[in-house]
Amino acid sequence: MKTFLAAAVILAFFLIVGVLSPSYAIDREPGVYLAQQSEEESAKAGEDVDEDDEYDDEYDDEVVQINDPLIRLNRDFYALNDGLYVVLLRPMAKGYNAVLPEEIRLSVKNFFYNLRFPIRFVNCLLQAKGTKAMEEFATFFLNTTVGFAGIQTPASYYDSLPPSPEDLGQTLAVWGLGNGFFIMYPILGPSTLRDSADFIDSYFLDPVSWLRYQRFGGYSWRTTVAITAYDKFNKLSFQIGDIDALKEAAFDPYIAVRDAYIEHRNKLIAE
Amino acid sequence: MKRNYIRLSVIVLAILLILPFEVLATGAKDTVQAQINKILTNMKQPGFKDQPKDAQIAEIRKIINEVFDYQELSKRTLGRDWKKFTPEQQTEFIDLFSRVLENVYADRILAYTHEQIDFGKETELKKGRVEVESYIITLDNKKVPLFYRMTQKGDQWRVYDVVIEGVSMIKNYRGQFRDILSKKKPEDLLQTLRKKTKAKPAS
Repeated sequence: MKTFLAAAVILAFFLIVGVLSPSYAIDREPGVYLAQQSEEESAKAGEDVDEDDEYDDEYDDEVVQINDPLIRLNRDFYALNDGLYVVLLRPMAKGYNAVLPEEIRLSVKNFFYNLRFPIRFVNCLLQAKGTKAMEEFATFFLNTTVGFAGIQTPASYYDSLPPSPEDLGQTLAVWGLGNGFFIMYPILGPSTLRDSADFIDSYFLDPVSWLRYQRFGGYSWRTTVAITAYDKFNKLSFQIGDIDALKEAAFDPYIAVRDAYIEHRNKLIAE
Repeated sequence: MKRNYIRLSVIVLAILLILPFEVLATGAKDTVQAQINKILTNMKQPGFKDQPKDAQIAEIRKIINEVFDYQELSKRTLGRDWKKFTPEQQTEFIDLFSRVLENVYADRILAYTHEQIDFGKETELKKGRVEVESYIITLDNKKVPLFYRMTQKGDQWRVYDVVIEGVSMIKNYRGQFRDILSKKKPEDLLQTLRKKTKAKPAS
């Protein structure tokens, strides 16, 4: 029954993504809707072509193209997340940083990164990236053994073993699926319809969620959530400076975060 | 014998082909590298860390200003909206926007320079424009890519964009500014910039 339900959820997800992404890969090429919009705009701007020549390059008028029909809801959720960050998470992380030395926090971060090896490995395979899969395997093997269950990262000293943070969102992109549209999840943060496939990653491939199986102790889902939340919080403790800088630098933090997310994801997909 | 001649001419041809790129390739990377090294030596000087943070930023800002081309940067950021600004507004925009960027960039450089910075290759994007790759090596030995996009002004190379982890700074600002300018006038954007720079007084 449970397996059937899971399968149904996945199937529904693919259907929705398929239906709702009118053009494949909105992230790399503007979608139909956006293309029309920019055509209209460039028609308007067409009068001053002469000066454009000066900046006639790949950079000129490019903006990050992203479908964002839920922008009002997304902005509300961004405000909620930001409030949560300012009032609760940031002070907590500051205290956490003051109490726990950086080395220990790094070990925690490395441990969880190493633990999530199945996600990266399987998605390398799904994208038919054989070399990367082997590199991931070698990294996992080295860090787990020599690196004491992944708290140290001896593999990072080998240039031939670069990390490849692959996930299902990227796999789907490689298979030709577009972003769909941008989603700002409450608490979880920025994503897109396609990248929401990472929930599937987490459910099946994240060892932290395997704790639900009898073989791994049969813990309740709350345990998984609690451990994952701690991992995320620990990660956040390294990012306070960057987050504050981004907010400080931005004129519209929501747009800044949204565009940066999409651009960063595009880079990961291209790799 | 004949084969030797062919080989020789191929080598000569190859050298001739590589040569102009090599000449071009030295300038940009050297400029950035020199700038980073200057900041690093400055920061290592006794007494630097004892200064208040604002003074530290001011000192770094001086070095940054030598390599950043703020006019190019501002023009590229606004893209086609640049023409909506009057010449006076353009001048003010460059001035205000540069101050915002100085603070951000100096602050981040301060946060990261205790970590190692490696320089990678340099690629030509287009004639007169190159991308210089640099990598911040974090404490846990991870590489954070930080690419400088540079353009040639006279015989000097100047930075017009910084790309961190694939996220272009000017592209990110362009998205924000375009959103603002689609609803408001250039003057309103300038007003926002004035407020932003006032909150953190520049020296």
